[in-house]
Amino acid sequence: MWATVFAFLIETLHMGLTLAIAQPFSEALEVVRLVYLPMVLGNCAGMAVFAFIVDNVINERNTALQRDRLQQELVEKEIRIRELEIGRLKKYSSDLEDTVQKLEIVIDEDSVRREAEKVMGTEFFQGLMTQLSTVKRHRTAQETPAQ
Amino acid sequence: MGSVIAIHSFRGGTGKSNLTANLAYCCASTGAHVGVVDTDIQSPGIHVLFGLGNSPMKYCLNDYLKGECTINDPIYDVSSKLSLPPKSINLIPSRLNAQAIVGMLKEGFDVQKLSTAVTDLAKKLELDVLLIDTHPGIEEDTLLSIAMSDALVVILRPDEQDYLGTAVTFEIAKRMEVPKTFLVANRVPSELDSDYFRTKLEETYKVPIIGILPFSYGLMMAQSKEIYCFTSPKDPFSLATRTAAEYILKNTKCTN
Repeated sequence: MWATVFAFLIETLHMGLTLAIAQPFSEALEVVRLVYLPMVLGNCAGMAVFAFIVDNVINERNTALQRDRLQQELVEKEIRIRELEIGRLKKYSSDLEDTVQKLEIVIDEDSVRREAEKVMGTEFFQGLMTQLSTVKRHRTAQETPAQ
Repeated sequence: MGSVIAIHSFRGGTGKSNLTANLAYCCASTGAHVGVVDTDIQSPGIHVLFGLGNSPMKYCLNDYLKGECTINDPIYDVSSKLSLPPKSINLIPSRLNAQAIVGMLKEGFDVQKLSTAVTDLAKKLELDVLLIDTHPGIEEDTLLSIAMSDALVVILRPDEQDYLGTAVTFEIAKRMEVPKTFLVANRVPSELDSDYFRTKLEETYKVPIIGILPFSYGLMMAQSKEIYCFTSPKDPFSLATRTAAEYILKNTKCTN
């Protein structure tokens, strides 16, 4: 818009200078009268096109800059999300390892012996052991002929 | 005569009967002749797994021990239910009957009689392996079952309540001179490092660990209505159980 106004003013100045400098004045006035309007319109249109192109280039450059900035932000955010995810997985894995490590089997050998002695000291157990030797002899005797 | 193997756990609810039934199936599927005796007269249940839950059982182990039938009477061939050749799995169940249970506990087991029954069964049925599903804990009937076995398989869960009792069981088995003892860990959560757990068990109990059986949602959903290794042979539980069965067959005196 301002470029077109500027082109109009320059062209008007150009025509004013023609009238001021060219001789004879009547011929200069005739020339200016003939060319003023086409020249102003032509220059204004040319300037409008030129300004439109320059404006587009500037907009395109700004858009590209903005796009690059947004892409950079997205990449940074994605990296942050990945880092958080990795951290979470590492913690999960570490927790899992802790669970496995915690599965210890602790047995008091004295308690085992004490509890076993309680059973083995009973009358039933003693009787069973006596009968067991008889049973084993019986089984051995039964198996021997087959061998 | 084949091997007599007692399957035991210090605490109830470890999946002992389920494992016994599945081990029996895995052994039988390799061609072995397997016998299964349910000596858990206080809470018998293995017959349910073999599909006899709703079937009237004329004779049971209880009747034999009371002298009301011969050992030939309470034998049930459950092979056909599992698409196995006849006589592959012979079950000797116990009866869930409060009066019978009280009577048996009061009178006690006759060592000689049960031992003779086991020997006769193994000979008569030409068994390669006879699995005894015991009552959990360390009681008189349990001690008897362990005493007459060639091998003892103890089951535990990754649970503090099981650790001490399992060690006591092995100590008693050592005193009874049970020739071989093995350990199976059952219901192990997948989040645990099974290799690490196996190492800790080996260090603690100093016996071969023949199976780390993973917790199986499918097995839970089966609700003891089926032999899981038969219905879901590719499940990790089934694969681990099969490996344990093969180990037992190879490492007991059974030569099948």
